[in-house]
Amino acid sequence: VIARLYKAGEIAVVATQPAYGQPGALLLSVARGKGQGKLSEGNTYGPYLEGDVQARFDELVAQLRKEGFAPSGLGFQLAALGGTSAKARAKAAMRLGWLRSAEAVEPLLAAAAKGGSDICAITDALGLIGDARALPVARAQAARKLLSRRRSGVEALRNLGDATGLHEAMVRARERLDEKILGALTLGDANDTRPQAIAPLCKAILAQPTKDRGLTLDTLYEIAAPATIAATVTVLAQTPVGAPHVWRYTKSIFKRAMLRHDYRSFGWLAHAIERAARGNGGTTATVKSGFDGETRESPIFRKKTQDYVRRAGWRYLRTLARRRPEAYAGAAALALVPYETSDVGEPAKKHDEFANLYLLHRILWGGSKRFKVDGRTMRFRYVTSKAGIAPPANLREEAFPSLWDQSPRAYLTLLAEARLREAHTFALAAIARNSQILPLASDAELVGFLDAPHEKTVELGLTELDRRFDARHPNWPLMERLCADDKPITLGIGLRWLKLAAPVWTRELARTVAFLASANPRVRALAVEMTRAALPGLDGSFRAALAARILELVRVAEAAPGAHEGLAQVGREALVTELLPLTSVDELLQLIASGSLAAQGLAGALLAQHEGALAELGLPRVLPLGEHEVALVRAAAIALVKRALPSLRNDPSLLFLLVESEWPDVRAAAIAMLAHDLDLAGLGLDGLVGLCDSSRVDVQDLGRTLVLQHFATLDPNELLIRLAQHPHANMRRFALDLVEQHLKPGFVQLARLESFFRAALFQLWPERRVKERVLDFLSARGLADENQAEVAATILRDFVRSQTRADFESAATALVKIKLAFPAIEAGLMVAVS
Amino acid sequence: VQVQFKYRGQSAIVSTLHESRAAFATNTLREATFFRGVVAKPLIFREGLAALHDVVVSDFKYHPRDRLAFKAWLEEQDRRFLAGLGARSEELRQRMHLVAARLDELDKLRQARLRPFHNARQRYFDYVFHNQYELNFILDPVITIHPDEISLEAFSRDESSYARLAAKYDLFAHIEAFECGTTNIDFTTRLHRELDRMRTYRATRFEVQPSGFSVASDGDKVHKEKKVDLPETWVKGFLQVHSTMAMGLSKLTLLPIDLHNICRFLARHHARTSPRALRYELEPGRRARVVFEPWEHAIELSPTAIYQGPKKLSVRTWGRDRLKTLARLLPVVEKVDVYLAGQLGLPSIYVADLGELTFTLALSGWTENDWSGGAKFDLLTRRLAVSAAELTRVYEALQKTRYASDSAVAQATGLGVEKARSALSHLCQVGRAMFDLGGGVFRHRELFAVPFTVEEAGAAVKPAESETDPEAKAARAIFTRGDVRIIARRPVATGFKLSGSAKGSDDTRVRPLLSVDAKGQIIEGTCTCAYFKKHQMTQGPCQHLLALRLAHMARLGDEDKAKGGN
Repeated sequence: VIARLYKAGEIAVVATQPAYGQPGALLLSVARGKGQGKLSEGNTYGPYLEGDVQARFDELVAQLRKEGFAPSGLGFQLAALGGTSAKARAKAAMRLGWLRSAEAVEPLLAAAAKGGSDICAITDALGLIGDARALPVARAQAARKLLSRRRSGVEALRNLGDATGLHEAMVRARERLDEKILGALTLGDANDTRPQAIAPLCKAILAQPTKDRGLTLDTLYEIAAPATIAATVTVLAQTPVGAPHVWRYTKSIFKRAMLRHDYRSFGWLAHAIERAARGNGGTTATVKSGFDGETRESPIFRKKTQDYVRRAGWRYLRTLARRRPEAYAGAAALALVPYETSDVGEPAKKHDEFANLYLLHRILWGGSKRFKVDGRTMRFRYVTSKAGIAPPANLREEAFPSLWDQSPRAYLTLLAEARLREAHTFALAAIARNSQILPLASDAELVGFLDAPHEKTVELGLTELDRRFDARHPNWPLMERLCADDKPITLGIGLRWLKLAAPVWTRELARTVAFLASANPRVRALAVEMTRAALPGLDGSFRAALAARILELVRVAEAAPGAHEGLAQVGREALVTELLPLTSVDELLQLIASGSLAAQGLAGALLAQHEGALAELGLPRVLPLGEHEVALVRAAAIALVKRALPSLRNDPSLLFLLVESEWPDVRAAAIAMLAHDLDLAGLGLDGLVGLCDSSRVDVQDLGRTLVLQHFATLDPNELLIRLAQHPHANMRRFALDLVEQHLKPGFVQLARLESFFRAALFQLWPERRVKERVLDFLSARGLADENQAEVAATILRDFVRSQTRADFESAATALVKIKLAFPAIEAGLMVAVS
Repeated sequence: VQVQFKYRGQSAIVSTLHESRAAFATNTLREATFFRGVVAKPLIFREGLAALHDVVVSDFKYHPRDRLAFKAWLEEQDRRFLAGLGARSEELRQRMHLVAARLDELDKLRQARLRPFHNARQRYFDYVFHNQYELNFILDPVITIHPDEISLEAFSRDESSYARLAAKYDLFAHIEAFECGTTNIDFTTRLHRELDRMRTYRATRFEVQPSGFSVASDGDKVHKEKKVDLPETWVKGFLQVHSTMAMGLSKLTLLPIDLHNICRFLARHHARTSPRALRYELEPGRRARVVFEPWEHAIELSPTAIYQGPKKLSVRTWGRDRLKTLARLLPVVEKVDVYLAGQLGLPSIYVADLGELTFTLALSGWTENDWSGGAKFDLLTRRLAVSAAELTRVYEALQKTRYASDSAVAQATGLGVEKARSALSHLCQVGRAMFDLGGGVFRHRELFAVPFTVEEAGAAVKPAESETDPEAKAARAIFTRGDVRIIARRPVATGFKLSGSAKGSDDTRVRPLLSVDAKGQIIEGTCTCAYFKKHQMTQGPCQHLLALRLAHMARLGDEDKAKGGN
């Protein structure tokens, strides 16, 4: 420990050193000197035990302060505060703020009272020192309209912890917001930063013209609720940060982030500005200055400004390292987090691929002697041509390595959040050096490891998670978190743990239900599998309780789509016995009518098993269930119809309706019942033709089979007339078979089938064989007698002009034969015998 | 146009063993129109409705093939090729080859494993398509109960084919009750399957009523309600199609076997290269020939198809595959009248006579060119200046009789025939009337539920405002400026032949030649202007032709007055 103190022209240093020959004991030395020469005078005190050293050290420093000595820089800065240059005064004020010395408060207040243009820096400094005496100044500035003054005032009030002043400032901030934005802000939860929670607010901001958006964002950041900060960053990500009317506020938010020590926002903005500056020369526009409120033509986001702000980012981190060393590593880690692979450039002879990433380079290679920065281009280049060779493995090149080691959690932040491989390599090296770091990782951080762009980080996360997992006493929140994650690797672990811990959670009702109702279908499926396997071994009371809980849950609407699926599946596959006594037929119908799809399926499965369902419903009410879109409900209808088969033997009309169902499963079941379980001979011609009349091929086939079976009992002429009207090719073939074999002789019967023959011949895609058979049949019947010849010739006459050669030849041949046999017939062609 | 459909009942065709009942639910937001009767000839009624259904669901527009999978495959090949270039050693390349082969194997296995899922998903999409598509996109047909017939009008999904099924009351064995009017009917695709169950041995009842198939009314409970954003093209199509029908058209009569030969050839041959027109070769006094391009395969039509026109014509029609929608009619049709509008890319109309049924299929110039897209057929029709009061008189006269010929309307209103025709043409243009090509009469048919008002009449007859087409506006400007003159006007058998001189908006004088029928409708025309050279008649007549017709119409009006007409 060392303390340097200064008095006009004099220096005093208080330091500790080990006491020779006394392990664990320390000596305290006070050295004094003048100017820049050696410290020529001094005393040594001690030895002291390690526990007593700090108190003695403080005493010695206090004694020196009484002598007029002051801590390093304080005196110089206080002197500069009284200077004539406003710029120098402002710099001195900021430095005094960083020193956080109470002695600087009065001089700063005095300087503030002069009301110069350095007032912002003075207010900022007073805020950083955190002394209550600064409240009036901070409040006065917070009430100012000018952005720079207001910003300094409000941020100072925040640092001073002035609740009253802040409340007034927040009221004023809300007044500045547009009505729609204020509405969205009021409706949302100020502490909820989830994307879906801040979406309405973001939408309202994005609806504003870019010109007006900046002030809104700055005001929301000023309000400083977690949701408003998240919304600010989200909207800035979709806004050109360097555009006129926006840049002024981007800069303001950046300054606020630094004053507030909001390292996450600082890191994000530093990266966003650096990215926006890439290939962007800025522009010129007429805008209102945030400094003095004047409207003038100003350069916006020009290179000079870009470079200044980029340097300011590193300056801030460097100052943190010196003045708040405990915060440096965390802030630096968060500044590294936003960098992505897309930021990386191409390596060249004189520089590496990260040469353009100023802040990243400063943080990761700031301690390296291989690089130097080119101030004009803001690029890092190799000092020598050999510098491009990788340094020895044990050489640390990052800036302030000791500060990183003092805050090892910063490494974990990098591993959990960084998107750039080099950041992971840097953090992994630290983990390899110090095995005590990884156990410090929280569950959330370890889950973050799994999403890393570096395979070793992912492996590290997996190993650590597995190491922490105990199947007998699982970490439930972590397990639920893993199971709720969409990323395959994370979900994979969650599912593995779910399987391993199944003996534990399947005995806990609440957890079983929670996993069965998970929003993730894979989790649900595994939970169903595990629960189904475990249920036979569980006692009856647990089964009954689970059944009751499932029923209770499926009665209400699904929280998320599919939430009922797992519950319903377990219900219908493993708990039917327990569920049946808990439900009535009416309730099941109610579920079918208005429940979720899964609930409808469960209700269907239960209805099929319900003893009294058929009696209570009656067949007419069962019929509509056969048209239900849920297959399990249709299956229930079929099961109930099967139970009613004895009554259907007398009147199978219900099956005739089911056989025409839109659903193949219902049709197949109805066809099977008609074919195997009922005797349809009694239906007569009407019933059998009714089946044949169907427009569905499977039903037609059944009808055809039954017609052939019972043909002897049917009136063949009437049957033919009816079948001949069927428009379907499948039944036309069948009808033709019957016509050929069973049509009675005589023109009356033939004429009644004229439309059938026409349909067969004029169909666009007839089977060639069918047409040939029709033509042969007409030819044969036409030759039988003159009346039939007249009928056949009428059809053939129309068809003979067919452009299909085979059809023409067959039709013409038939007509010629008929004409030769009965010359009086009008054949539409002239027969000449040569 | 936002059109709302509200159906209290459901359209259905339900067949029991002894009876079929075809019940169509009507839009309850339209006028109370109903019909109840028993069909005497269900088979031709069935085939007519089936053909109408085929038109309604048809979409012959070109749909590019989905090439997403192919593009993904191509990208993967590129990626592999580039990865191969980067491989430094032969050993590495070999290994990459092996890994890629294994990856392909795994991909195939994955595809096989997922096939049931993909199939199920496809079935689900089909289900959704059939159940939701029609709800959101199928435009329900318009049904009109006339004193002598029922007609159903509809457009295909691609809006390039118009179909009208008209059933004379002779089709019905018994009519219980009817109320004339126009409404929409709930037309679901499921009806088609049930339609095929109509038979002569079952008494077939045909009902058009608000409750549709509902046996007992459930009070005011709405079965189905849909709000369709009626495409402007659909509305315009309805208006254009009747303008076309009212034009002077060349007519041929085909026998069923002719249509069968045409459709069969089309069904068996697919042209892969242009041209793909169906060309009618017409020679006065001779049987017409149909030529299929690009094969130049010709079919000589039946003796009934003798062309009666004055001079040889070759008419090319595109989108010929649309004729296949008539396939169901082939066994039952008695004859088909073909009406051809012009030589190049203009519509063709097929009127199938099924005895008590008439099925009209009007095809636009080509499939991609729907009725509103290209040719301005309304420009081809003639117009005399008609006042709002005259239009209202004609409307009321037609509404009273429900259908009438132009001369009958003229007699009823006391207007000259020419003026009555123009007024009827205006009414067709605003959807208040339609032209029945088969019957040759104008019929009262309200396309929309909004009542006809004097304001609408005023807007309909105001030429400067109603002429939204730039060519029509320019034509009127030429006529008003007096920059058009008739050089020669010769009466011929079909009407008039006109030769003129016109100076258009570009200040160039051109020579339009025009042939109009006795009613003043353009039969054909040519012009020396650039517009005509570029488009011929496919985008409608040019401004000079229209200006020449205006001059002719003015002279016709003068002649009407001289004869003592109103």
